Amino acid sequence: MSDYQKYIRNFSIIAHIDHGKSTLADRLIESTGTVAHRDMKEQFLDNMDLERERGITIKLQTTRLVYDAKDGNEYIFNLIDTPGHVDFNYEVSRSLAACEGAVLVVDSTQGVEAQTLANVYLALDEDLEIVPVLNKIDLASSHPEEVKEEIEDIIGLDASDAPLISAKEGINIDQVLEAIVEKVPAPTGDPDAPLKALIFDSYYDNYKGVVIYTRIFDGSVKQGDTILLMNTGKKYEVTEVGVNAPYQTPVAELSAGSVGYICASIKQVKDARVGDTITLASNPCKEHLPGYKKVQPMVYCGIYPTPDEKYENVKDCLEKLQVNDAALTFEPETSQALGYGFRCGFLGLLHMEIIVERLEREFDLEIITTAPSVIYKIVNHDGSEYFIENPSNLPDPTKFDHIEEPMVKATIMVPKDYVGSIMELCQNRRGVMEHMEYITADRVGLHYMLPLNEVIYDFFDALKSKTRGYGSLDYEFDHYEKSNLVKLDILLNKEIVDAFSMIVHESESYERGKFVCEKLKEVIPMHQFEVPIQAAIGQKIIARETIRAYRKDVLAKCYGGDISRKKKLLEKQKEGKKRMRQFGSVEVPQEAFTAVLKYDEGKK
Amino acid sequence: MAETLGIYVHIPYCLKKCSYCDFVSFPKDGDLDLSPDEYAYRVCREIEDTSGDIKDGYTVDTVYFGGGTPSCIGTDMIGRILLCLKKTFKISRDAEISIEINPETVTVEKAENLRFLGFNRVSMGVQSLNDEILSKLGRVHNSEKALEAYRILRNAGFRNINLDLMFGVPGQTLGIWKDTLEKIIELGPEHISFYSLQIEEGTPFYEEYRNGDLEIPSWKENREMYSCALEMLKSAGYVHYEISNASKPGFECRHNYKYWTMKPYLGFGTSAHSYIYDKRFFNTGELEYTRVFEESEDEEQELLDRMGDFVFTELRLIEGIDTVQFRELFGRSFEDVFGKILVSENMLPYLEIRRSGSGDIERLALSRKGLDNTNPVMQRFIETLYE
Repeated sequence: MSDYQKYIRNFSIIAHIDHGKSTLADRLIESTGTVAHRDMKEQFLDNMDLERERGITIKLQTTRLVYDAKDGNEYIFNLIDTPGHVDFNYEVSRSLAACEGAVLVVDSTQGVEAQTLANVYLALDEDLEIVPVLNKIDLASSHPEEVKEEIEDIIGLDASDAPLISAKEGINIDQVLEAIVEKVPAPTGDPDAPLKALIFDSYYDNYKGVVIYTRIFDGSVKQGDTILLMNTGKKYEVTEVGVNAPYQTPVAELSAGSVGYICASIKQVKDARVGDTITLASNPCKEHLPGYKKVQPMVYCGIYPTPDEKYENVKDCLEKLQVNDAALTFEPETSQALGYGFRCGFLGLLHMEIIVERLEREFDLEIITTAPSVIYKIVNHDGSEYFIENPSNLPDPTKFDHIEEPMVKATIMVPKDYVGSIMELCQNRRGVMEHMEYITADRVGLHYMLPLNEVIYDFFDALKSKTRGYGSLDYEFDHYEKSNLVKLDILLNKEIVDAFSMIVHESESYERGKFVCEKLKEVIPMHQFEVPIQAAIGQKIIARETIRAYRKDVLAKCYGGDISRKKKLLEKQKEGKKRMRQFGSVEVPQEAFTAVLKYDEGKK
Repeated sequence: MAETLGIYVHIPYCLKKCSYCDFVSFPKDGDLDLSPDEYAYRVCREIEDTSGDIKDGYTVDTVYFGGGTPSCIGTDMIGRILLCLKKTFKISRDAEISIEINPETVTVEKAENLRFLGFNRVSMGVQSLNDEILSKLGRVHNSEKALEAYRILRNAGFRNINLDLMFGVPGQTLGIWKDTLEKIIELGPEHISFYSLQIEEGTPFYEEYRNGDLEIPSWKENREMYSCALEMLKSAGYVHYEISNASKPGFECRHNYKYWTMKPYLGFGTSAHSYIYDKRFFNTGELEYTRVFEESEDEEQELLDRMGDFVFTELRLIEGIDTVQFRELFGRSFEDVFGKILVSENMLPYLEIRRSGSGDIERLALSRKGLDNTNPVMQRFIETLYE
């Protein structure tokens, strides 16, 4: 170990959502004087509005802190943030790979949750030293001793001397800083070996191009070097290296053990993928770092402009988002019902919601999104296979041998009183229990194999509602499995509206068809004629509702000289039409597309 | 001679809102932003503040208090507003001064006070003389009360009474409708309105209907009821002069007539509409209302919009559209603009065209078949304008 490395600590903070990760990060930054208190916004690291609103971290932030420790030395802390959601597990794992340790924050009023475990497993995979910290001890419902036991029993970590803190109130933050110095190992690595560095994040900056966040394992890098990205094979000349302290500050060089950023006039984030290894073109290292993978979308949906929105606008905005989000994919597609739009791929439901919300809020677009779908594997009679991302592309059942669907391993943690209803929920969603365990006398961990298709369809809402918000969920892709799936079509006035088509398990097609018909009956307004709503599998109608005919005409009393109102009826509701989509002669309000996806309390 | 003007005053209070009503009205004893008393002051202020030079250019020959139920608030407040109008405008001596009332609010004292204030026409919402139907509609009164109210109004000296009736309502059969018509005709009001029930969004009826909990007569039955009304009224000596209105000769509602013939009128109070100097504007529907102007996109659009208004309102009249007036108003001949429709084979059965000796079209009206299909026919006219 080189001398300078003794005083570096690279670590992440990991926690279940809402356990106080970002608040603790803020306190660490503040108490090391990195950002003066007056400049602190709440949760400095979550810098997108959306992140702050939802209390989750989507985009990583990395900050360098300087800490004067009680041993009289000055330490450099590289705090590497991790995204706080299961959709972004791969990014989490790469961030952790850049560290030697992780501060595990556990809410002392709640205990260990599904994501706590998932994150701990990821950290252990990377051989990190874990520093447990119990947060929210200022709250009356805090029960730190029991939670310590939980940590010891479930995770197998010694939590006896874990700092008891309140990140919100700033209590015992110094103990956390000292624990980091004492417990997290200093980095090692040879500054004179060929460069070997990990990309753990990247984003696009209008002036600098892609900014790569990196951890240097061996060697060093400086301005003017030509770097080689080993997995993509691309070469770039370095224009700037620096550290976040917490704002970007150029430095002369980054060397083994340090964390910082590199700019090299790279045009798109997908050219500097998370997990890739950076080396020098002139003197490359022998092997790239392990663990690189190209992230694949798991969930797809259609995004279409409303009649008042331009297709080109939607395209431009998706392109802008993609520059910064290597996981977002999109391709043009057409729907008979919705016209020209895009089929977009996402890491998961949250990722999808975030993108849709950003399109609507940041870019002010008016869009319609169709039901999310997973990727199905179609196996032909001759054994060859292909994948489909859009339910309407499912061919006639005679054209293939069978369909396979993606399965996920789900970990669900619930208070024991809710075990029954959650087991019922999982059963209804075709889940197979692998095992369950009592985490404490009160809390239970349920491990299920579930079809992803069932998880993306309102599963999380149902879980939250059935456990009064106490249930938590984590899942990861496991394998593809043969399944009896059928395409459910929805017909309005006898015509298929392709945007409503979905693939469902045969056993629940009737239920789902009925639900969609009922929902549509609620949201589609009455027309001058009767509108039948039907759910069909192939030629077979499995559910039906009817929207009654309703005459609106000028015969009724017209009062106070209100001519305009009557005239509007004759002008075919010029105004009202804007928020409607016309399918044949049926007008469908935008909300219909989301209403059919919403979890319904009355449903099992 | 100064031009004539109609004035509408909206009184947005009722004892209780009926199940089908989507007019702007609030239960009188509910939680109100403005009490009737405060509201009357506000309307007076509006009359004084906004009548500007209009008051000098026009003579008012019709005044109409509509609602809501204008008769449910104190006669002194009605009086205050009417007095304010009389102070502000020049009201001709033979002006038609109407007020809408509902049977449950009629007392001898109220009727006499209204007469005393100067009202010479009343329009009473009877709707039906079948008690089951009345209760389904959510009306406060029953048939007995309606008949009693009618006698009180007559005794108080009203010589021009309209009764509002509704058909196509839940539970109504042709027999029930006939029965109501017979009894009404026997009473002999000067004017009878007969409206087809419209299920409006935002009303209890709408939700019930949508959910399948409310049955109304089929369209065929609805049309039979309409035909039956036309026949019975005609043989009783009433003149059918507008889609839903008939009167004894000379008792057509002069105020409503202005709406159908592009004559100027001013509306005061919440949700009241105005049409003057070729412009339309209206007040919003809250008790503390504000005024909104209806703007067309440009002059060309404005002309088209006005032509559309003209055609669809005058088509409501049985005598139909006055093509001479059309040319005077818009500087173009009617045939020039709507010629396409007038030669269209499938439109002809719905229209009645009257030509002068020289073959020019003088009047264009809906035929009997047209009266049963007003929406598509009128729609066709409006669409022609924007094609």
